[in-house]
Amino acid sequence: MRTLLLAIRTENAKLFRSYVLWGTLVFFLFVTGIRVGEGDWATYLKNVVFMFASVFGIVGFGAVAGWTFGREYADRTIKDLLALPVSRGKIVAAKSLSAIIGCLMIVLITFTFALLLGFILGMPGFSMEVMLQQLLQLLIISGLHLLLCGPVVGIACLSRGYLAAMAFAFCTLMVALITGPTPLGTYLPWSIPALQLAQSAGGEVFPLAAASYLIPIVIGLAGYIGTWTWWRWADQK
Amino acid sequence: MEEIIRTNHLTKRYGSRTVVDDVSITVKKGEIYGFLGLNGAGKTTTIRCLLGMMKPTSGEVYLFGQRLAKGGEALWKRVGYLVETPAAYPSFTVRENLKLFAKLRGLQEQEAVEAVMDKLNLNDHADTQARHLSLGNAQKLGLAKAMLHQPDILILDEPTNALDPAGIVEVRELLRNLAEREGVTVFISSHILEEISKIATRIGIIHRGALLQELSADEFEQLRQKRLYVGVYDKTEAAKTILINEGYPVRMIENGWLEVSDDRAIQQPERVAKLMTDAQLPLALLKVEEEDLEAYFLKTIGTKGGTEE
Repeated sequence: MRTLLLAIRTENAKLFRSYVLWGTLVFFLFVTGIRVGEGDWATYLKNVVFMFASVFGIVGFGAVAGWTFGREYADRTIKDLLALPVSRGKIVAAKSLSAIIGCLMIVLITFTFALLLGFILGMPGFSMEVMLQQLLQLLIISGLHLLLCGPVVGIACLSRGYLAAMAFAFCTLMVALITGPTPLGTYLPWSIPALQLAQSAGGEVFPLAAASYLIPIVIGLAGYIGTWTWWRWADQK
Repeated sequence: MEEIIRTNHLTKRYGSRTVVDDVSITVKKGEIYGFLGLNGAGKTTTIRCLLGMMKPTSGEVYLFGQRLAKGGEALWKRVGYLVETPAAYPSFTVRENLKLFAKLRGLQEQEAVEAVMDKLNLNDHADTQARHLSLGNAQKLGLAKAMLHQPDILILDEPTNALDPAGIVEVRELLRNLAEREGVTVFISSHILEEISKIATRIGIIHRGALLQELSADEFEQLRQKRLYVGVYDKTEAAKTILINEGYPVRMIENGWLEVSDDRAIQQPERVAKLMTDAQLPLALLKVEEEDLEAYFLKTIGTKGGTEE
């Protein structure tokens, strides 16, 4: 456990020094800021959460997670991580947890920023209930997207860099936008977060069928476990 | 002496291509093992197998007598390594890069980092970001990462690449001291033959994946060809006759010198000098030339492994 915590601290130090994390945050804050004049609190917060359900989640989280793994190949530092007294499984876990921590930090800062902007500009119709409901949906949607980062990190490792991982994230965004509104959307992992938001408007916390939650869990586990397996067993050339 | 590194019929294949072919090596405690080979000979693949980064197709690797198996992380506390070109996190300084690895290895960060920077004369660059380091200093940072935890084994792939002459001497002395005084076992691959000949206590020559020859520095000393070259003013034929009459095998070479490959002549060149002086043949040249590792290596891979295409 101590070695895992040390590895997480090391990975956090690397991630929090990166331009990718802070660049993503700045982009999120910028887009959140330019949408601040739209309607009342309920509309604004829903718009913010929708951005996470679509572009921010797929591409933003994908960029952070893909970079966390892919940079080791791009910087050629991967070999320094392969024969340490910390197991490769723990390194993979630490990297994944670090990416998750970074993404959740971005989520919470962006949501807090949206609230601050709303209050400063005197947006009408604030309700604690609406705010908490949107925050809860934001966290559920973020959780789904973080699961969907599993294949992204796997691709970063297989392709030995972050470009293919980011390209994959963009492709899934396009697929989600095209297929999301069709009946297939509820079974397509990358459109499920947006559907979760759309169908939770009535106040239901988990409005989709169980299969729609199971799919991201399976995809996510496959990605993270696949990454671990690849680190553990594949030849590291 | 205790066996520290051992490979047993180590073989690595990619499809039909054999990269490492039945390599069995033993390295004992405190030895500096020079692993020589051309680019693509299989040195780095062997090193990656030693470090568990690649799974051998067949054969085994033993470190400290324990078979290397996946999940044996405890072994890596005692192993330091540098594989191929050194790399570091570019936005971190030298000190920060070292601290990251000190943390991962569970060391007292400050103490371990300052000590290794002292050892490798990296203090002047401690606060330089890795992206701004010269190739030589990046190489030193790579070595510092390998030595950070004072390992019992150092596995170094081309460690003196990119170092300037002063850096090469510094690293050579450092490795020699570690081996001689602290009993650290050093496995060092290189294609810089002169470097290996100056430092290694044993040498392995790998070519096209196969270990062609393994010999100690002493054996190399005995095996490499030595010749005595004799030059006289004008009367070369007379000198040749005198030497032949004394039982020395002599050959005249292109520049008019005489080449004697007899051990007696090489051990006691003064006897040859006396023969020439007694015959009133003034010497223009008398020198013993020893085959260097480069010539020996090329001869070995040429005769045993076929010449490189």
